[in-house]
Amino acid sequence: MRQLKTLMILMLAGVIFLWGNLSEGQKMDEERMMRLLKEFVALESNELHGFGAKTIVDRKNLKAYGYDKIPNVPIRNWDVTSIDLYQRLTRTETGMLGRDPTDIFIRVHLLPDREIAYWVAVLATTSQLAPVGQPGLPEGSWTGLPIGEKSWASAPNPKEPPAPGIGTANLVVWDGRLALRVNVHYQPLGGPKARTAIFLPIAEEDLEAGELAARIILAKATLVLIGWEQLPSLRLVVNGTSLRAKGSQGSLFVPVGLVMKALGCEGERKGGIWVGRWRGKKLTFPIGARCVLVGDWSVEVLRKGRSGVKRMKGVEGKVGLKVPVLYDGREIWVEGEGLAKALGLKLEQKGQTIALLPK
Amino acid sequence: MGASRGRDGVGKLGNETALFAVSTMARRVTFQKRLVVSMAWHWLNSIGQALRRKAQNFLEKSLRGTGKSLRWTPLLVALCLLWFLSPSFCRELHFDGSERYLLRWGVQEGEGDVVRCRHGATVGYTGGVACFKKGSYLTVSLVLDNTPEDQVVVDWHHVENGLYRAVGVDSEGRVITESTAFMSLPVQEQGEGLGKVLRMGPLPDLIEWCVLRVHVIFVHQGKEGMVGVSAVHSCEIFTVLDAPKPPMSPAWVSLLRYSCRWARGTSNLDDAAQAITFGVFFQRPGLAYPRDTASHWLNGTTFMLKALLDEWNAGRWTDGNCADVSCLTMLALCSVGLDFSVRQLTGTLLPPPPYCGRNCPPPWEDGPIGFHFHTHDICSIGSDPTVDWTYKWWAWGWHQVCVLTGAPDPPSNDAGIWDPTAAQKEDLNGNGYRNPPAHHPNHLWWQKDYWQKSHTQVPGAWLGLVNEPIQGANDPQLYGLGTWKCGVSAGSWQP
Repeated sequence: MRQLKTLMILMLAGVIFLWGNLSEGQKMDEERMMRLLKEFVALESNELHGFGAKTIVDRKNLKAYGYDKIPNVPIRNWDVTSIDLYQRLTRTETGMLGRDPTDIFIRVHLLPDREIAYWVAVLATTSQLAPVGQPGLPEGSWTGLPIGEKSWASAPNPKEPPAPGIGTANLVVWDGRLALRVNVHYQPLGGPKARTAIFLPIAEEDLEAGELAARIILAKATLVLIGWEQLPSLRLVVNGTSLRAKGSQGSLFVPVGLVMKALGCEGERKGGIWVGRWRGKKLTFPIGARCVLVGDWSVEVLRKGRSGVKRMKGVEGKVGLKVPVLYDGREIWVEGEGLAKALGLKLEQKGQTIALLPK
Repeated sequence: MGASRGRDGVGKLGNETALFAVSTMARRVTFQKRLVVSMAWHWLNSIGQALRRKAQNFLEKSLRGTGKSLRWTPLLVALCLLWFLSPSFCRELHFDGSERYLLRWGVQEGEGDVVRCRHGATVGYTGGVACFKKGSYLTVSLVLDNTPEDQVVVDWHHVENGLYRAVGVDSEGRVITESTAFMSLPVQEQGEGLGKVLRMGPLPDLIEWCVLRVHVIFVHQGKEGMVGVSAVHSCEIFTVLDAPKPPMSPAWVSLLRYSCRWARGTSNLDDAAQAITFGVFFQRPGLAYPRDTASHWLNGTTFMLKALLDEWNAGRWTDGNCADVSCLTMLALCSVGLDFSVRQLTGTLLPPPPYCGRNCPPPWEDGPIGFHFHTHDICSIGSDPTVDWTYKWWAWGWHQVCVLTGAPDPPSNDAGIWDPTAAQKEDLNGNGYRNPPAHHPNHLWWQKDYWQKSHTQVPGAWLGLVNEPIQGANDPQLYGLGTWKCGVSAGSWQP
């Protein structure tokens, strides 16, 4: 009996020790993530041309913020920590009345699992257009190109005349454990004391800048989540050219620009996308997208052209990816399997060398 | 440097701190010398206080994070030295009362945000802030430090006082006041010597935001006899209707500076609630209703108040839909002691476009995604309700308003509605209104009628919020979160 008691006390002590260590480990992991978000993921001043950056990294318990009270959401346990990155990108020197200052507000939530991240993203779309708990903004993006696993957006038609309520545009993205919201915002023409706040509609180039910020941040945050720095380097042979790839056969990432160049394919990066031609077909790699677009594609503007939100209309071909198209600040990286499929080639590994070969 | 009499007989008090001597020796000192001494005293005093506060804040923060890093150690040691070496002329007056309410600054999360004097007590203090019930009395006591400067004080006396209406806050965070006091408080000195307490009051019997300046004389025991030292101590004062209600309990100083300005001069629920509803609607720079109707300031069910007020204080407009606007209004109402909640409502709905009848969605809205109703022409927040072109109809799936906590659920007509999201051209009698609905004896906005009311003069026409479809006997209905109170946070946020 005494032995049993001792055993139980020891077990209890063990459990407490283990739990203490686990929660300590979890805290350290959170702090590491916060540091990485601030030092690696956050955009620096002038990374978006002309925009200064202010950054805050924080963590919040979602239950403490009352997420558990929201109806129509199937998440049972909101007692989780959201590691948040807040950025305010401000530009003041366009010289255009109504566009100075332009603010791009960025909010990134890193959640413990993808389901919670999805619902945090959905709740970030809340509007009076739809019931709470359902996406309150239409699906789409500002360029029409895919971003993340799902995205929702709002934006006025950039060609509209100045009017109340049109000086703001939202883009909400969900991808894996990440929920992200970007808001481009102008100040009204009449200044702080305007009787009626009349805004310019958000200009197309500012929408593109906002979406580029979202793509880069999503790609960089994914690098952090997959432990990019720890991934082993492999030799990749393409058309006799030796290149560096990252990862292993199961999840191999290859640098798009260098691979395409080795294949003799013309292409270039335009903002948040890499576009090239291969065997007469257009190839498009949007940073942060879960797919590669093969062949021609087109986008449609929502609300019969009366909106600044667009979405894909016709796509010749699409190759899905398990991980979004990545960007490390220099190169665009994509899953080797996805790229091979898009090019109609195959990947073969021999020892530490991987080759991209004809099928 | 003394007090000059205003037209109403109330003293105009000049500098924050002034000095003059009343002993024979001091009388020999010229006015210019006194001015220089006064300025030097004032300067040293403010530097000393600022240094001490900064060092204290830094120490608190650093000590919390000592386990993480030691890289701040040299700076910490230097600041500690500065703290101990910095001049200490920090004698304080404490402003207390039986109907004084606890406050938070509203600048950070946690206990560190509670308004406390240097000694840790949650009272109002010189250079600080306090909140009292309207018409109540306050007590003023002297708190000395154990410093050579304070050890010579043997007595103190009240000379005069004045309440100065606050009009704003400057870029350094200092309260700007009108130059003339609007009233002075009757004073009774109770007790003797250093333990003396001044009983002042009654405070204005209405909502007010002001600065109380108290001119006192400290009697110093010098080597050559008694010396009188004159000083003006001030404290920012809010007078509210009642104890602030959750979630504004304690109320935030940063919000009271808005809510008490909006409701200034009101003394009852009806007037104060109407004034605050109008105040939120007419705030410039303030909230502007976005075309996508999206919410911007709610994180879960918590209103990110500091982030919003930071924008306004920096002179920037912000976006907000009905959930944002009504939650902010609810917080402002709760801060002055009114117990309000927000309520989500919906009713009989139309099918999604293009099956909903008119050319829906309207071009000024991104358009409903599901079932919805069409409003009358309303002027959404951020626009001028006195001109016709700002009135437009909207297609909404639901709407959120303010109600008194405990008000009967819909479809009862017995609850009043305060809806700062949009102004209406006509009240529920069809008379010109052009303000946001705010239930008041002069303009009754009863819940069911507010939602939709048959126009008595024009058959087939409707008043209230909903234009179409025709609402049923059970409309409006509670929707989503029903009747609720948002949380409030000073945490970091981006809209």
